[in-house]
Amino acid sequence: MSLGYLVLEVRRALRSPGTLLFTIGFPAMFYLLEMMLFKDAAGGALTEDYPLTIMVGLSAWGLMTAGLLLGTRVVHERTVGWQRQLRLTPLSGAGFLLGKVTVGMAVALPTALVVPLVAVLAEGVTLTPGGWLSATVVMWLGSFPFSVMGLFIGQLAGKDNVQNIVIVAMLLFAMFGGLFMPLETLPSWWTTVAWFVPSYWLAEIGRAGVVPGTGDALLAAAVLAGWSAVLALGVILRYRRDSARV
Amino acid sequence: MNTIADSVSLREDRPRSGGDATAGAIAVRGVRKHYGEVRAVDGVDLTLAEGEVVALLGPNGAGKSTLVDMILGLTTPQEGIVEIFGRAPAEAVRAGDVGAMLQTGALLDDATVRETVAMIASLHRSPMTVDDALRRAGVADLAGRRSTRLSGGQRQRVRFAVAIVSDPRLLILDEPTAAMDVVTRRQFWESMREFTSSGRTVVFATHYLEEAEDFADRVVFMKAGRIVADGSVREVEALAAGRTIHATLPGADERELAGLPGAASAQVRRDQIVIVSSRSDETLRALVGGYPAARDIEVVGVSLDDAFLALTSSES
Repeated sequence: MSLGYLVLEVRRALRSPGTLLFTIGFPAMFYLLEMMLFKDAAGGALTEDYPLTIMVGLSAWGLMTAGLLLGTRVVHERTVGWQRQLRLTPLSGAGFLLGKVTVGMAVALPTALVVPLVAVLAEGVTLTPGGWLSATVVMWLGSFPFSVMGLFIGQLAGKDNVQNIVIVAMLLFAMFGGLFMPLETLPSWWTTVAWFVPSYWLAEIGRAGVVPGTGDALLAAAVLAGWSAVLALGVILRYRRDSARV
Repeated sequence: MNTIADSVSLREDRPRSGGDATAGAIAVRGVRKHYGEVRAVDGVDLTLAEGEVVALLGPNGAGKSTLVDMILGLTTPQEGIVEIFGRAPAEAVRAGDVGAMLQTGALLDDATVRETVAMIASLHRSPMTVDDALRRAGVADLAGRRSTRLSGGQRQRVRFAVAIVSDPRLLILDEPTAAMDVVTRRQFWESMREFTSSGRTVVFATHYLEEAEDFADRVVFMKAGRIVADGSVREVEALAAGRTIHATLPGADERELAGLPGAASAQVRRDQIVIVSSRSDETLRALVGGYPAARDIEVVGVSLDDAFLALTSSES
């Protein structure tokens, strides 16, 4: 593992413009759309926080998608035999994980900035410096497990089903994690389900810093770290085993 | 087992040039790998001294690629041991001692030739320079090109650059010249010769027998997961005093001819027949006795091609 390797990995990833539509275009567009449609309908007490809650939710959605899309890249590399070639280098399972997740995080970095930027420009949201830190840097770091998850999907899925798996995961996590709508507007069992969905905790870590008195940032960080650890273990074990010809 | 394979006794007891047998590059002992019912590799022993250049031959499905995978540590054998320079394959790989050109693509669509080679180089501890690898593989002029814009032969040469950039002591090539035209193939082997002149060990699987003839010190034939012959090109050609019998014989039946005493295989093309035989005298007597119409009979020593046919096409 070397810096040169990481630089080349990231440079490659930034060459696929299709990804940017999902990680930058859609979150920004959906934010504007939701504001237009639901801001006034969201109801009394919520109205004030609504632009912020949705900002965090859609930012989480973009970050999550950036991570999950890593899966399609990895499947492609496996299919063309690149992973077998990597296995013939001193690159370890942990090194492989680190390299790929760095790519996922690099792709996610602009995503962490774009929805907050649109929220400021379109809705004029204001936050304390600490609030901005949570909405951008903290959420970006919090999206770590999704890059690992994307990588894991990439190792398990095949060429034909990876797109479906990524899309289904993206939509389910968005829906049950309460990324598109504030959970308060949904039945209470929804929140119970949301606890088991990692995307909920990514939104939670952002919310806790942005809307005071909502959510527990430490708990969210702990849960996200837990997801990361379990998925990372899966990736490393799989890398050691996965060398069969595809 | 057929008679030819039985008569191959040149496996273990012949002196070998170029290298000390104790400092073996590859030691494969009693290796087996089955996929369900399929015995991909079914009990293989193979020792390579450092500096040997060995061609691995055999029909599709003979187990060549599985054996290569096990030598590289990409697949673990169910039984037996594989050692590279006295170490487990994974350790040899970590040390950068092994370079390989595998059958599948191994090129990235979104990277240039230089970037692809540089990525692999950056993972190794003491690689040669990227420029050096590109030059040796004859692709220096393609450095800035994306792999999607390469011809089949160019891709193969880039993959060769990927394989050698770690400056390995052992190089394994799985059908390196597939998709190359004649000119490119010659250039490729010239690059190879330059690379191996410094005493590196090379194993290459190929379908082109003339490549084995021209380039290998030693030929290993695989069939149905086993090694059926192992020797120098000359030895294998002279194997079992094999001969081919050519004749003109209208209306001949291939299966009947292959059933003649000593015959390993037979081919009929229009009225021309070719019989590969391990005991050509007997076969010839039977042919003349049983087919008085046969004329223009010629008996010649086998080429590697014929030996290959005899060794690999007959039923075991």
